Amino acid sequence: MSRRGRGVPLVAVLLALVAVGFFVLPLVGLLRKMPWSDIWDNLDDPAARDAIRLSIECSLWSTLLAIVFGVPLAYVLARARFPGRALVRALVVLPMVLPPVVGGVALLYAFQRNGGLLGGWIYDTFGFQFTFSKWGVVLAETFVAMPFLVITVEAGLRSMDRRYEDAAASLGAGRWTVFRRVTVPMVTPALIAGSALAWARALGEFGATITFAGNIQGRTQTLPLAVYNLLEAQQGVAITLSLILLAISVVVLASLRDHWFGGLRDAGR
Amino acid sequence: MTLVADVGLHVGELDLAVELDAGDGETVAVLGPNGAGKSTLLRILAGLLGVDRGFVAIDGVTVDDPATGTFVVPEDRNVGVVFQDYLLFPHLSVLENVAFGLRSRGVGRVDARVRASEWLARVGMADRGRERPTTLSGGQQQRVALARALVTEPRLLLLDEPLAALDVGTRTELRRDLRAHLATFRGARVIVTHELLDAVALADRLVVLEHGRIAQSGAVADVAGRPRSRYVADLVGTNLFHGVGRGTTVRTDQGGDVVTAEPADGAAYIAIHPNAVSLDRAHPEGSPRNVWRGNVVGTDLLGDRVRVHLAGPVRLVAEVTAVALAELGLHDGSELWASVKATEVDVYPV
Repeated sequence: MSRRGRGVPLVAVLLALVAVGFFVLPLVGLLRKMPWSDIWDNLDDPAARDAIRLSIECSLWSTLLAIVFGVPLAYVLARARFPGRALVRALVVLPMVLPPVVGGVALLYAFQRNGGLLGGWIYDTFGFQFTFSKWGVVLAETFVAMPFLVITVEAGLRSMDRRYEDAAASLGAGRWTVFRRVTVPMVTPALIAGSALAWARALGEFGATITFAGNIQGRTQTLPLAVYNLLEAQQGVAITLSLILLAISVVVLASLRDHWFGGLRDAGR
Repeated sequence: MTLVADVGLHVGELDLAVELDAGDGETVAVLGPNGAGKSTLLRILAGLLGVDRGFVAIDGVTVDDPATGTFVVPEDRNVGVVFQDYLLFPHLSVLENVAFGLRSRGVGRVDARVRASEWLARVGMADRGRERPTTLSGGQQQRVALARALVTEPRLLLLDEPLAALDVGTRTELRRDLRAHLATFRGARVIVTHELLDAVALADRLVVLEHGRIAQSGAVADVAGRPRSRYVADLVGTNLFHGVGRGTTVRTDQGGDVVTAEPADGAAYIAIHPNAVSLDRAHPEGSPRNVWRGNVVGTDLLGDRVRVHLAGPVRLVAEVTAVALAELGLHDGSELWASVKATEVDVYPV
């Protein structure tokens, strides 16, 4: 693509280069420190193995929860008209901008055993507590990850051609059948994109998890927590785990390229 | 009557007030310009919209009547719809599309597939069942959409612009196909279209909708032959005048007089087919009773024929051959004489 006429001012180009360098430099720093020959040994570390296992398990659970509750929520936000819908949407999106630590503290005062809004009742009734348990991690991850799924799926629902739902209704499909057999399949690309984003966010969750669920190896110590913990004592392991998270981020980014950044690319053409 | 409806609905700019009925085996075409309320009417009949006032009854059962609080949701109406653009589900195979209505109504998977296959065979698409609808041509999609709508054996079939999505080249053939397929359906059919040709080819009866109201209705030939509105006159390509008759002379609203063979008294319409208008450079000799002087204000080419638009005491469109046009040496602004025999003037009361 050749452009004629006035170019971009030199000052902007220089500042942009600084910005790019700012993003690239840390990655180079990380990769330079990478103990390539010791990767397998590092991954065999008990703390690393526990963290990997726990992270995969918890992030998948939270993605599942985000889908089960987030898709209907997105559907309601996209289709139902009710007073306060804007407020509900703002509340749903809030965890995306809220500092995760604050989210963790908030979860604590809702679900902790002593003095939590629901936590006390849950413990008395079921003898179960979220804090310091795997399910606490899942809860914290779902709290920060679900908004990504909700807004992505809601956008997909809004851009979908609703006449297909009319067609299904005219063919005798009730509302639930229309939702299950037409609406959800037709927003599958958005659902996949939203799930991938939510999963990536859950996998990287740190602040809310450490605040709400704690940092116990094998129980609540996920990959980011392990990286933070091991950075002093076992730097090689920490860097190897960081690289795993980086690799996953790159893969998610690449897989979402078309869905998420297609619009940007078109705008640049 | 399979369908009896008298509906009123106000949505946005549109104020719809229409009476419509259709019997078994009858095809009614609702014809009208964009925004006339055709699609809204169809959505009302399908149950995708409720009426403000009036009612809809299908097969003697009232499905919508605000006065009694009756409203049957679309999935419980026995109505098949072929939507504009067909709206075949892109995530389902052709066969699953056709089976959708049966599955939704509780028919078992195997039984639904068998019946869907039969319908695909009926519309000549038996070998395409496994494919995705997006791989089909417009005409094939139309046939699948028809099979999908008819597989549940509805009492009423609604078609929204069934030929609009097809390219001109294949339309004639597909129009004939559609007519043949419709003939095998025993219930009532309502077709919405903005194409006169589609309406003429497919329907027994025409209802012309303009601004949410019925402008004219009746047998296709009657509506086409005796238009009662500018829209219909333009569609059928005829000259239409409104005026007041006295004996065999009608004074048009524009001021010119038209002599007719049949006497007319009071408000009347006059239709003059463009073929009946003769053009001459000089005042014509002989018998024509209507002779007007006019200026050419435009010409349209239609194949080997040319439509000449004339301004004068009576604004007319004349249709002549391209050869005749060349012989007359016409161009915009040319002055000439237009003549019409009184026997070629169709006059009918308002």
